[in-house]
Amino acid sequence: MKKLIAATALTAAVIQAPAYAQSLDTVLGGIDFSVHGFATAGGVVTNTNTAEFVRGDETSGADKTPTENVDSNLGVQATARFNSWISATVQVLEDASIQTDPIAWAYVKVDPINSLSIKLGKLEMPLFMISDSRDIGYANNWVRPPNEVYALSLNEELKGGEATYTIPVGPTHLSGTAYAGNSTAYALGTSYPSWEVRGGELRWESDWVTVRGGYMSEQNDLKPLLGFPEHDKYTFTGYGLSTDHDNIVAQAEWVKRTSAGYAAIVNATGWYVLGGYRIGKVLPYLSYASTSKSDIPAPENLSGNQNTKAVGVRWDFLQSADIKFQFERVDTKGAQGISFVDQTPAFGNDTVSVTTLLVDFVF
Amino acid sequence: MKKTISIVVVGLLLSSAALADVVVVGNPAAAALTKDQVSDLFLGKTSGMKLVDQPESSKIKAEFYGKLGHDLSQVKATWSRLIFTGKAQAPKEVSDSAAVKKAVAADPTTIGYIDKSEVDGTVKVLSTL
Repeated sequence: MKKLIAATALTAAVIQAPAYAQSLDTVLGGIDFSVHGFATAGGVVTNTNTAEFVRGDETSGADKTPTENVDSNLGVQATARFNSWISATVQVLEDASIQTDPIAWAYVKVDPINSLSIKLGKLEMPLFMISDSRDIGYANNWVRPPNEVYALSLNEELKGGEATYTIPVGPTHLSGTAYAGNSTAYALGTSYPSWEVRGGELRWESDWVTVRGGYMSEQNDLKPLLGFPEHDKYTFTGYGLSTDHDNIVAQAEWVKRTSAGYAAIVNATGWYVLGGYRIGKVLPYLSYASTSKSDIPAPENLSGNQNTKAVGVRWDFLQSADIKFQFERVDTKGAQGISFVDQTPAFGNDTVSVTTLLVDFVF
Repeated sequence: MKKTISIVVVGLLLSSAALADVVVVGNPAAAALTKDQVSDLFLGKTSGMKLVDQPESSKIKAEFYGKLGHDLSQVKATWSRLIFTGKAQAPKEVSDSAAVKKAVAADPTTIGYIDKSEVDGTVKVLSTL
């Protein structure tokens, strides 16, 4: 199924590439409709059969037998623009995440004045440097966001509202976002309700540097996990910095996950640095990522200690399409780590090599 | 003598081609823009103007974004992010400079870019890069 979707998307992308961003725009009855898509097709293989390597919250992944199931996805997004300040957007996303609802986003966006933007509906929370575009491989330089940071968050979806206000600061821009609503969290393969989601983000962008910080807190109903009624306050904090200037690309983030009642099990931090140098259409890069669980002894943790050293390259080989290759060494410190499922008792003794080759496109 | 003149003329033509200025043009009613404002608009950092873009294969497109300090593949990745996150509307790609002039002449809120030598009375130069 996945393969079929990817092959279809690839064909569509190649055919439509020269007309990118224009071909599917139409105006009907004064409403401006646009449809855009993105897709990733590729394979991942590791050097071990003692566990399966996954992306984010996936429940199956790659071992010595290559699979396309880790990074491959297909997204189609339709926007109806009713006038210069009201629009409605729906994004359908097919991927291997545990979050099976194909409707990733469905929201109405209102821009009452030029500097204010309000979104209502099903949205993505701005928890990271790359939040709402993390599934668009083409918009990013890496093959996938580092699990050490991006797999720490237990939920990203927001059913509610978000307001962003942007002010110019000299030639730069400062924006503040506040959001609130409900969500669904995922841990240990189980979903559970979240409410009283409250969060915010500050983001400063100059021509070539972006700095951001964000905080979110919510109440989680742990009954589906524990079997008895239990409410817990959960928070997620993150800071990030990125630059793209004179062919030098660099990005770094630090995040922290906490629980009020289950700190020993839930609390963890993660960070990564990535650096690359663009030579025309080719961008080689290196990255290092690390995550640490709480020091408090616990019978079980949501994630363990892990670090990854990666080397990769992105090549924009076609208009609106790139090929990426990444080789990484993942060290789980003799324990569970954060990137592996279906672990056998023999897992964790050796650093795992993971090799990825994929194609990203937008259409 | 003739030869010398024609060499000089060819030389002048070549050098003017190499040093061609890219200008941002708008409707004769539109206000001038600074380079920072042009950069913010064409990289999706601010909105408020409709943008027309030159074809992917055109030399002037790479030159224009190059003068703003950005490589084309970087610009394309940036725009794919902006389009999908709804932060900005993609520039409308038209076939050539004549189509750019036609689009901006017809609408005071539309801007585009062309070579300085292609400027005529239908459009106003808002910024020279």
